[in-house]
Amino acid sequence: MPPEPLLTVRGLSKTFHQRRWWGGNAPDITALEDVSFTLDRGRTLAIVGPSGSGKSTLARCLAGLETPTSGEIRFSGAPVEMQLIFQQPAASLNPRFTAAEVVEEPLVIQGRGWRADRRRKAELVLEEVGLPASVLDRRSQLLSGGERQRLAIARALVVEPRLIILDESIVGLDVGLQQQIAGLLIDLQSRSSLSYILISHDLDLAAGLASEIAVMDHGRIVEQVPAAGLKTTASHPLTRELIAAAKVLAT
Amino acid sequence: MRYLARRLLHGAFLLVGVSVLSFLFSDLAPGDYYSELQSDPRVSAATLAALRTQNGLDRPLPVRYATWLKSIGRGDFGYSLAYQGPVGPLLAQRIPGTLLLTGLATALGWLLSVPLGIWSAARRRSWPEASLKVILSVLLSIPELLMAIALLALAVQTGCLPAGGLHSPGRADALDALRHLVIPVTVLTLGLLPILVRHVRSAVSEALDAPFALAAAAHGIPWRRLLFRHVLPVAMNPLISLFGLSLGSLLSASLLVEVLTGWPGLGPLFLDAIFARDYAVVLGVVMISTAFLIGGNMVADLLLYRADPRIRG
Amino acid sequence: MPSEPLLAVRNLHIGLTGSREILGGASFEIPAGSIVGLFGDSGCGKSTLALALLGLLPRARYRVEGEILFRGRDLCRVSARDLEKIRGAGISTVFQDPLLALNPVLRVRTQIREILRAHGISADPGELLGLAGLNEPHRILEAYPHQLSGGERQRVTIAQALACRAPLVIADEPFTALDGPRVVQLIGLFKRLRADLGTSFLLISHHPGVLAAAADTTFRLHEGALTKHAA
Repeated sequence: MPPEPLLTVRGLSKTFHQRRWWGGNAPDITALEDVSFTLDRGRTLAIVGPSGSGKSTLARCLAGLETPTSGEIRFSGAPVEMQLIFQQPAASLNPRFTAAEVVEEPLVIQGRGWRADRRRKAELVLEEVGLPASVLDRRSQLLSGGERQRLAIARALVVEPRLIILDESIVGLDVGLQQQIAGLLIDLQSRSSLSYILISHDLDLAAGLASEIAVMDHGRIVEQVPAAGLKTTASHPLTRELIAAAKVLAT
Repeated sequence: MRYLARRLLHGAFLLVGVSVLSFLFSDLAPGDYYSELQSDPRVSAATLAALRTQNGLDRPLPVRYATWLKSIGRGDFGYSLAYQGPVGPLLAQRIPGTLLLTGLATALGWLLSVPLGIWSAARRRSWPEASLKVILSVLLSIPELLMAIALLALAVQTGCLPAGGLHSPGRADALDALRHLVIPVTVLTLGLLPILVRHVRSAVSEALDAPFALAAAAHGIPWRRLLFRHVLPVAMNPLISLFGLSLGSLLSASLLVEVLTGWPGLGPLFLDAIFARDYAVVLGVVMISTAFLIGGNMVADLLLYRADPRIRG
Repeated sequence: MPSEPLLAVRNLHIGLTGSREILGGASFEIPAGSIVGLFGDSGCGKSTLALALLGLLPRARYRVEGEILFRGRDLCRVSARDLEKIRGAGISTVFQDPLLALNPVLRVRTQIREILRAHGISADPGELLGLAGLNEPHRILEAYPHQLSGGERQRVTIAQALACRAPLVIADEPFTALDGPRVVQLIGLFKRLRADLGTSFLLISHHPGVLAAAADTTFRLHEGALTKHAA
């Protein structure tokens, strides 16, 4: 009997009803339509697609930031074990917090450990993402974009999650850093069976990290293929377009 | 336009709410108009009771409220026991004075602070700007009371300006009234200036530092045009909101200044009525002030709607 | 055959007053009708370099030394008024975040007209939008920035940069928010503009792959030093 998947999503739909502030109505926006997939422990699913295809809405529904209009999300783990890392990490960090405060905050909220333990955990997790301990007492607004990016990942790692959803989190990084973080993520995955849902518009990055790729367009999953055979098995025109573009831009 | 209707409705609700609360509070306050007479040995308790009954002061609260509402319907706005007549005409007589004072102070305040604030934001970290900041801080810390008294004293000493009141004896012309306006308007404006300049400076500063200003500069838009045609419209947003909010404090300040300088506005009427516990007048002034505030804020909201396309959607 | 490059930077030093140097002694050239890439890690000073070329670094905080020769004139030595004229008409810019780079309370038409007016050029804003690859000029001209999609906004900022047919356009991280197919589209647009109008581009990006596909030559800014980058 195979183990239960870590995450099961069935028939997920989300429609936004827009209201104008003065009382009128604007047309409804269907962000997600009948999205279904499963994710096993220790695996990575990449969700790719053009902007506006609903990828971010999906991430937010999974993380509990939006309530789906219909459908089911089943996660075999505590809610805190699903972490979300946002698109623009600089905006998701409190600029006045020091790096230590940023990373320790989830532990504080969860009520875990004493001060010394938290500090030690913070140091450990910073090391894991490649940030020097000297950064701990610097305010996050004083760190560079890349450092803040890594800090956001560290914050997600500090509660030892089972699933991390990366919403375009590493796409905007410098190539060297991106490879580093990708390596880190793979490393973490092999060590602790961490699962990832990687939302990206960068197909190469997705193919490099994921075992399976789902392509979204206008709120639906139009194709889902294993990453290994992407270039050969993908048939949907949108996927082929993404592959063609990636080829042109490959380093 | 549905927006306007909703706001008007809210305003009406607010007025009703304020009237109820004011009625309640005046009821909670110990004593009534005739309480003064209680200590007068010549007036017997029976007479007092009769007076109270005659003026309906012993009726239950809801009944008194209803009576008051009815008198509003008639245009009387309640009955003043001190003046022995409807409150309406009393208010009507005093409103122009307050409107003139607050209107002039508002206009003058904004007319001065907008250029000052812009200049201050454009010349950040310079000598003259730093001295302006000091002057404004000093102004901010001087209470209106002190300023009014100081100016009145100065007026008396030098004799160049009349010290209080609306008209000097024997004169009834507009020019004379204007001379009498100088001190109260000055006091109000000087009180308003530090706050306004600070906000204008901060709003313009923020807009100047914004990426779109940098982009406009990169496109070669000349400095002056950049400031007035590109940056100022964006900076206006928070300032319009401030306008609505500042009306409240300006009104309170103006009532005080009127009392101090003897300017015939709602201020002295209000104060006398409070001391005499002539609650009908008190209520009348409170309602007028509330209506003024609501109106002012609605104007601000409408201006904001026009000025910022992001609000329109 | 003009041998003089459109832009020649000689020994440019940029530093924060009283502290560290951001760029030490950089030299590079942008020939007419070429697309030059500038890449480097985020925060390394690419945008600062761009602002220095335009003379937009606040003098109180930055020291800029060296020569910036645009069509033979040293931009470090021209008057402020002349510099204002060169910005937009000689060297124009496409900034990184179109939503932030556009004025939120002015219509698109006004924002394009303002640039034309500043340089005394008469052109049709609708035509400029078409040059930038936008198909519904009327709707977009009447709109405010927040009413447009991200892609449309970016094309508007490109139209602004093309308003005065500036020979050099600096594009700061134009590809960051775009997905693969759209990046290819944008590169296509730049190349078309280079072919049709002879415009040179300085493309700033942190993605070397994109620059390899887009640019003729690429420079790398790393730890204060500018070097030619072999693709």
